[in-house]
Amino acid sequence: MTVSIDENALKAIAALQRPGKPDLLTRIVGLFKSESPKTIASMLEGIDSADMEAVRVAAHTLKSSSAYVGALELSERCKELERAAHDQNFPACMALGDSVEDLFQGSVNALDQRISKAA
Amino acid sequence: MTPELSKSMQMVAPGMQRERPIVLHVDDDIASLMMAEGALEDAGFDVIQAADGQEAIERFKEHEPDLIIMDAVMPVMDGFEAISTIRELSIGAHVPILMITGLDDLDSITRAYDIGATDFLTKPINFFILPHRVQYMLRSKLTADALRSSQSKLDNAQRIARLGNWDWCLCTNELSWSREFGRILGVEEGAGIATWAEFINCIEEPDRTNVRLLSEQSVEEKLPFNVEFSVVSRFDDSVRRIRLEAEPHAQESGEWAYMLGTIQDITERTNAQKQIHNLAYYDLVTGLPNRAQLTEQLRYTLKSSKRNDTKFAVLFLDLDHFKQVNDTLGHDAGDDLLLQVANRLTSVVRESDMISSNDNDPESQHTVARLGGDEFVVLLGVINRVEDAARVAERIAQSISVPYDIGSSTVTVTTTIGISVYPADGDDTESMMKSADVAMYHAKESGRNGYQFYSRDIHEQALSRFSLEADLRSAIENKELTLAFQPKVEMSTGRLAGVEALTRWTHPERGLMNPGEFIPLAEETGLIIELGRWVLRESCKQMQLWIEAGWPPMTIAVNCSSVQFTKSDVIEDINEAIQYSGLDPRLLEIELTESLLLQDGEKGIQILSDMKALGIQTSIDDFGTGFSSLSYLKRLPVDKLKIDQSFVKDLDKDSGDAAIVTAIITLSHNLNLTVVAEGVETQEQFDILRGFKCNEAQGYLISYPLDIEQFSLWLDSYREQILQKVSGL
Repeated sequence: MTVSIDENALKAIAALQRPGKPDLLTRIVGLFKSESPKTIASMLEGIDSADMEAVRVAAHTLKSSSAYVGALELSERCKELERAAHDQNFPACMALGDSVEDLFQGSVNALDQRISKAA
Repeated sequence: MTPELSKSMQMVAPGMQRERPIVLHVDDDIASLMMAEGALEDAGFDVIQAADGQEAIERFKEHEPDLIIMDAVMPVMDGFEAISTIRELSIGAHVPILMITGLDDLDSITRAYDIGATDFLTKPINFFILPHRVQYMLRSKLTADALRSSQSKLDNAQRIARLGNWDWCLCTNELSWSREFGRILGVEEGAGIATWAEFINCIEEPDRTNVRLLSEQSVEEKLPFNVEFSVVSRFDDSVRRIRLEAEPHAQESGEWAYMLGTIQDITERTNAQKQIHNLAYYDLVTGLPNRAQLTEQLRYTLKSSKRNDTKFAVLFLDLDHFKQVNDTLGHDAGDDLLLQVANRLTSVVRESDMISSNDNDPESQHTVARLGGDEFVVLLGVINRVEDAARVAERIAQSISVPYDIGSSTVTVTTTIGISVYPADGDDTESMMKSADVAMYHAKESGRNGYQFYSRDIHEQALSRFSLEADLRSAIENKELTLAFQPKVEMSTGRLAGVEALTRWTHPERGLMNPGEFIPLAEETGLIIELGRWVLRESCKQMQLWIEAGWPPMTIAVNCSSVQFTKSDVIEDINEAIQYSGLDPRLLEIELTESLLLQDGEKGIQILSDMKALGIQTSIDDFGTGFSSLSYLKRLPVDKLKIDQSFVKDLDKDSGDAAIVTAIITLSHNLNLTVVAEGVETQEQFDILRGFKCNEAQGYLISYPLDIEQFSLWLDSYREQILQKVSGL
């Protein structure tokens, strides 16, 4: 799956980089890569066990963190999922949940490419 | 408490800010924390972080940050609960909190404000804007801090000064006020006093009316005012003295819209002033005025005496042998004695109040003061006669010498009194005090327990009149008084027209005394009332006896003094004399002086009418010496005028006197009055008066005043004498 990354988001992170400090973009993306699978896991677990509150919290978290790294498609999907969980719309959650893992993987690939190109 | 914490507490004192303010950022999204950290640190903040609400509270207590950025949705404890908890901490009540919410989450935004968030920001956070928002919030917080601090300082200042402020809207009449205003009046905030009228009603009368009138006047004239008044505090029912300052204020449009002002509780200051005044002007041992207060009163009295031309007296006294009491029984006993002496002095002076002619005038009040040691001064604000001072001195000496119970002992002291009298003995406070002091030393030289006037003349005068007064009192009881009779004749016929009764006093030591020597004293002391009654009764009785003895009925004239006229019921006395003697009232004639009638014209007319109603005759004595208005004379129900002897005396030499006499006679005849000439001593005078058609004559030419026996003899032979005198008729 080919996923595009919002350049503005990445520029914003770069702009927050302070001289002499570890590369912020690398760290943020690293965090995104390491932390998000846990969030996705709890989200899917929530869908499996029909725990809408767990789904909502996980979607909310992933919505923000993906937005920061420019993974706008993933962020948008999480937003829809958060709304569906909030509305107790279980079928919608199931449908939306299916694509989250793929979207995440696609976003990670795109970010990796983007970083290695910059390096 | 860790050193770091105490330092940070010190740093958050009101109005101060850390050099690098601390921001606590709470978010479960580590990326968000990371990005914000850089932006905030660049902008000059130190950042501490927490991943959930629970941790946020820990961090907050630990670091006391200047501002919190709080994510709403977090695991463990969400942002809402964390904010609620922090706001309940005393250090967290005012810290600015920036809530991070979802863009479309309106419910969360509303909820965030409800629980005490300061501001909100939506996700995703713009990290470039974030530091500016934080900066702005910190600035507002400083302003709010400064305002809170200023309010708290003002509140403290008002509390310390016991001064509250208020403002009164002239359009709505509403009154708003500070916390201290409520504390002073004893009312809770938001209760009790909401309008100016309600405030006025808290004030005690008579101050209330005064404050209301002043405030109305101030509104009317647009002028500031101040006033003092008393209120009863609703907290503890204590009476508070309040000073109010007020000034009107205009709106920007120029209309007078507000009255602004303060109230200050000056109860303690007022009490302190009273206490200072008491300490400065009153003696601590006896509670009497001290020297300073006496001097002030003396100055008043002097001024008043000068203005009203009255007399006053200073009695200077000390206690004989007081030192021995102090030495043998101790100072407490000495103080006790002084207090008892003070009480006796005060009651003697209070009982002597009747000697003051105008009791209600504060300037003429009597004052008892203690100068110090065993020295006292009694100031008699107004005395009519020097004997009054002597009488008070005598009473004081008598009262002081009664033994005292001091603890288990009985003590006797006496006093020596020196008296100065204004204006004779001094014309300022110092000389009056000095004269009294000198007089006291003279008194001591001539033996203790006595009194002495400063001036020998006054002393003798007082003593002489004092003893004469006592003698006169006993003279009435001891029947040392007798009557003398001077006949009057009808000029045209020589017939006996009547007699005038005169009083004689045969004093056991001074011998025979004329009325001029003792009547004025009798009038001053009021003895004249009793004396007058006696004369009335005896005169009527004597005439009735003569009539019963077969003499032809004739009028008996009795003099009536102004004191009898004004201070006793003279009609009652006359009635009683008539009843007692059985005399035909038509034979009684009351002689009144012209000046007496002039004192109170309407009352004079009334009494004369009452006399007429009794059937007795009335005459005006010494006519021509007063200044009767002729219209008044016309209204007086009198029967006779007696021409004063001063006009008769030089009748044959002075044409002016002759003119006056003619005028009086003509006037009298026109008014149908009988005219009597007094003091007729020569045949020439008699002839001239007869020529003027004067009706009756009295004087040495006819007869001197005679006692009962002499008069009987005179009466036997009067026909022949008179017939000879008027033979030229």
